[in-house]
Amino acid sequence: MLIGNTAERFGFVTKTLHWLTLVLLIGSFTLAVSMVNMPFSPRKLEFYSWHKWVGVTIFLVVLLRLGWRLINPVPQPPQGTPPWQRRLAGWSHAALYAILIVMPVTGWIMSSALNLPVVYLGLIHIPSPFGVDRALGETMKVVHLSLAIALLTLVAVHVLAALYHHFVQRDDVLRRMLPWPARLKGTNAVNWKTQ
Amino acid sequence: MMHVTRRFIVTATMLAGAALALLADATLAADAPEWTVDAGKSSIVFTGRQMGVPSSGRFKSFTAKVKFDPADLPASAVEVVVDVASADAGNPDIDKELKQAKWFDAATFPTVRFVTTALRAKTADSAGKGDYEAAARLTIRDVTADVVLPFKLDIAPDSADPSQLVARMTGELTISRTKFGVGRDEWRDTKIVGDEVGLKIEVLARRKK
Repeated sequence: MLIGNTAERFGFVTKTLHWLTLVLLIGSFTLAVSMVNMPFSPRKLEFYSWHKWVGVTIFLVVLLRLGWRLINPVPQPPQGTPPWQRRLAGWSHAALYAILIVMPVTGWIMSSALNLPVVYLGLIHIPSPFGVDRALGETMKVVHLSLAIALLTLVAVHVLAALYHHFVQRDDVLRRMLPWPARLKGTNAVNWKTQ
Repeated sequence: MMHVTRRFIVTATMLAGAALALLADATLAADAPEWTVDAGKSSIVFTGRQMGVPSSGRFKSFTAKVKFDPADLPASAVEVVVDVASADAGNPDIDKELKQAKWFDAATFPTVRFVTTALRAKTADSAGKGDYEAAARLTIRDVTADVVLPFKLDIAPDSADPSQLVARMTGELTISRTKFGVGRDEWRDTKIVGDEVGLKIEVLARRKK
């Protein structure tokens, strides 16, 4: 099994962390959408705590991903990809990473400012330097929600781009990130359109 | 006949004496100096836990009558009345929730009362500085229970106004919210919101020397 990345392929670690991020995001959004509309109840408090734990986990997973990315080669877009697509891919990936890092931070500041401190898994208290501040909490609520909308948009772009590569360009871009080992067509097949 | 009358008079005199002694006590009690509480420098902070996470808030509005003489504790007494609707948990949703019928039921039971029944010195010097405890009746909603509040006291001349004395009191106790019926129905379960609630009381009071 390939642990690290090569110039053509993503290794086990990158793939695992990528799909783990998706599973955590689905969990986080599901909890978020149900908890905000619940009447005040023990279940609601429980959902909020779980949502915060998942958020902290996403933050840690994304830090790991960025660290792994630094010490590993990153497979490049297929040859012949137009520069504007390369640029767009670069920006959207950077934006995805940025939001996945910033969003948990805004949630943590919001929750702490509204006097519900974040205690990861009920064990590790993560104190906020900003303390309890209702106005700050309300501001962070708006920022957190805006980032959620931005994230959903970017994820949609990400998925559409992957499907475009797979079904329209018929290249390896989606296949090389599949969680199971996939046979790649190789760089020659990638450029069938431009050849 | 004479015998009976004499015995009656003796008994009556004894009773009258006892009554006078009681009256004297009551008068003495009224004589313990009264202190004026500085609300801005006093606080009642509560700390609850949700899913193991401690979260504190405070009651913004309360009044306290303090009659205190370190040399005459039997004549001393404290009565605190807290406006439950003034509970500030630092979170608008929780503040709203605490007033509901399942919690304080502020519409039916607007106040929490703390009335001392006995004040005892543990290690206090002649100026009154030291450790004490207050036995008190605490009423939350329609439940009254006996509690003991250990507290520290420091009495000193007011540096801003030498004609006055300043007393600083701090004390902490832990109570069970469910014992007072705070948190009913689905909230009775203490798995999500813990049963124990810490109370931290700080009072600054002044009086003329």
